[in-house]
Amino acid sequence: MRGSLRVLAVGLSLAFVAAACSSNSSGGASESPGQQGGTYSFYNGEPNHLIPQNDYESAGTQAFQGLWTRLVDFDPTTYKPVPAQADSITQSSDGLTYDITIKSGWTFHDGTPVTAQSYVDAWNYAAYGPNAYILNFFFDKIEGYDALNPSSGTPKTKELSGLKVNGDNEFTVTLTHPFSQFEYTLGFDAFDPLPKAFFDDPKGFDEQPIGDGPYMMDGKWQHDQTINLQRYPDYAGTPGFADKVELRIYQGDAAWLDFQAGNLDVTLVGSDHLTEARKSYSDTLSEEPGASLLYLNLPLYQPQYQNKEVRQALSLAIDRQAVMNAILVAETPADDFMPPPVTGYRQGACQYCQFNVDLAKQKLQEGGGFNGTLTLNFYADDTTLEQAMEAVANQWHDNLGITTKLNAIPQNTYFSGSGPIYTKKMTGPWWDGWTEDYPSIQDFLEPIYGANGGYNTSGYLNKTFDQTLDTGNQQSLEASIPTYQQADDMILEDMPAIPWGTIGFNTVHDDNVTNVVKVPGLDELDLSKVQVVGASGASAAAS
Amino acid sequence: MSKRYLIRRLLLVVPVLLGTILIVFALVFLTPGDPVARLAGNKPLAPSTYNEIRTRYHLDQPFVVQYFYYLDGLAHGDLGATFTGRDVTDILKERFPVTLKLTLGAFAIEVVLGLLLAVVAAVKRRTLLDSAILVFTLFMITVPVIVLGFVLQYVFGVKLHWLPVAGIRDGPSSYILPSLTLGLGLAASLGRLARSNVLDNMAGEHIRAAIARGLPRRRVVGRHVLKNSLVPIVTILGLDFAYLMGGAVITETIFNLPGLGYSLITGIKTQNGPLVVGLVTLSAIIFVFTNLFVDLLCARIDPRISYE
Repeated sequence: MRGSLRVLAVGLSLAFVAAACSSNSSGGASESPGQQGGTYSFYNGEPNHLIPQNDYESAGTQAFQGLWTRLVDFDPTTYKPVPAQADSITQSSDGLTYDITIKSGWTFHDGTPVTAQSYVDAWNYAAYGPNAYILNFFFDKIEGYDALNPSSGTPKTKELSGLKVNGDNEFTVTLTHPFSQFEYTLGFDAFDPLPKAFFDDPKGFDEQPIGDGPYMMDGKWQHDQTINLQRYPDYAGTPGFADKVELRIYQGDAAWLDFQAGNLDVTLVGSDHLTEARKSYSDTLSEEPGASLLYLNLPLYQPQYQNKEVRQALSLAIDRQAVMNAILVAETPADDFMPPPVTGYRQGACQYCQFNVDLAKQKLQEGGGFNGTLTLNFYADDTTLEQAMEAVANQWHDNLGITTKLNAIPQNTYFSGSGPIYTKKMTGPWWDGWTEDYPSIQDFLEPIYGANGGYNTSGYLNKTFDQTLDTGNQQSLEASIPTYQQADDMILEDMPAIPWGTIGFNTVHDDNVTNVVKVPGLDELDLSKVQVVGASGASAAAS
Repeated sequence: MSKRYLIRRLLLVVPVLLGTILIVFALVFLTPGDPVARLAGNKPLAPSTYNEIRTRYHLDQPFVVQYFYYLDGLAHGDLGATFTGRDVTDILKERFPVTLKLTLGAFAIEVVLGLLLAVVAAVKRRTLLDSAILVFTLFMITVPVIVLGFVLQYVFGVKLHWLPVAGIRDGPSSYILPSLTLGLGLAASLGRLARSNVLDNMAGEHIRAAIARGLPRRRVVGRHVLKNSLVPIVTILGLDFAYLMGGAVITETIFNLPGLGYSLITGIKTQNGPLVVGLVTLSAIIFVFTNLFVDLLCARIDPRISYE
């Protein structure tokens, strides 16, 4: 097949970017009393599943944003959790138990009531190992998880001992260890409720899911074409403006062309089209900081990278802004170990993220210099990334006199369990990224730098850091944030990785719609806020 | 042509398919990387989830065992499922019509435009028109599909707003630009090849005799020249048809057409053995049968061809 390899490469790199970015936009200042009605279309990818507990990528979560109401949403300025489907969430004084009350009178799209049991059943199903649901790992903090996921054999029970229904609208969750950020995690789709209909036919449910959100499915999921949504007339929360939403599914560059051709109302703008969008669509372009951090991870298990001064020097010696001005591989230089829309982020916290050649040289000397060649690793077949990595390597060479080498690793192996990242065989810094699960500073610290962090691939080990995280985990949510910031200060000094930048959640739209805004704290478009221009008020009578 | 020949050709399909499946299966199997681990991006799955999925898809088994599981399923009409749990059979059923429509569009352009270019260039040989056709066809052969597709999208979609540029939601008009993208290049190749064929035949003595007898030129070219040039043309057309039915990977991707080629990209990207094998096997079957059909057709066109 002529030329298929080339397209494959392009497809792969887009897929990687898509995993790290999603869509959003803000700037819809005040809630104008817009009229209901009309249809609009928005870009989406092809989700893996439309069952919230079995999907872990941005195309799915964007659909869930309309189809489900999460227990909590996030505050637009502090990014702290605020109740959505939950009425109240109360933490016990020992921090182990959460009492969750949900709003009464809410229904699923099939008319059945949303009850405490809908949550408990859904969570049990997802936590049950043999069901092999992708988000199973989200439940590992709840008591009884191990019994549902034994290291061998079939589990003897199908229910988490830590979940207890106390009535139609109330249930309690008991954790194995205190975890102050548990309320944040409830904003993730793993914790959405499922109706009875799901358990009868999970596979059929996947094609036409029934949620409790402002929008319901309008027909079945048309794979690789569209997911059509229509307003749920009996929604108990704030109803959506548009009557219908078409989530059009695109692969590759077609969405951008379709938008330019006037066939798509709202689309996301990736780094590759940002320059063009700033020029041609500046009136509707919205650039908002997104929920990912791109960074250069460091193999602390290699002798060359064991002195923190050397790591500080490497970070100080790169002019992030200059590289980004020329090559759009991220859009805003990082200045903390997390992106801005996260509780606990501090602007300018990373002193070693500034560009300062003199200080870099001084630090390198203090750290005993750099012996041998520095190998900079990244995944292959992404020319933009390769150019950026070349620029970084050149700066290390020019500013610190280090001999550098570039190493492109095939994408299939890069993040695989047997690849060099997980097996700790990286020879030098490597291009990496982290997309949040929930907008808390803790999600950017413990999983990546904690001793037991699921993605601690640098081998960073700092007992004080771990103890501080542990203290934060045991505090109240309110008190925990300053504690986590203390932990952040430790890695800002130790620099176990080199923060690079953040990707924006950027959208553009045509004249057909207004009020295109992002969901606070998450990289998603708020589907129910978008208004269709000139929509007739007639359809609003229904709601 | 004997019946035995036909049966022999049909029986040949079996080893071809088994071989294709084995090779493709091995290629997907040998590709480095861990498709299951990547289901949650770069975040680690729970060990129980990871192991359960690997067991479910027999990924914990050696290659030979996996291959036999696949053949066993195939014998029961089960083409397997993707790692997201969709049946490959469903996907093929969904994708086949899209690719078929695109193929028919492109094929129609190839046949009509290709033959027209060939005949005109041959009849008007060594004129300005012939040279113009030469330049046009060479240009179309050289320009990569990805460039041609983008130019068509930009001009007719983005600038003129005449035609859709992505997806299939606009019905038949969705297929116009992608069919042109594929068909123009094929028409140009066919035009070059058929032109020299037509020219060879026109030099034949029977043609000169026909012209000398005063038969109308149109009829000479149509009845005598073209018919005698058909065998190589039909052979090429058969190959092109089978190639198109395999799924035009680039064209389907740039025009966002959910056809077989589009799925192939997804299958390779997610390292999904059953999906890739299913797609390639389907295209092998189409190839084998198209070839058989072409051979039979050639025997009809030219009675001198016989198969034993």
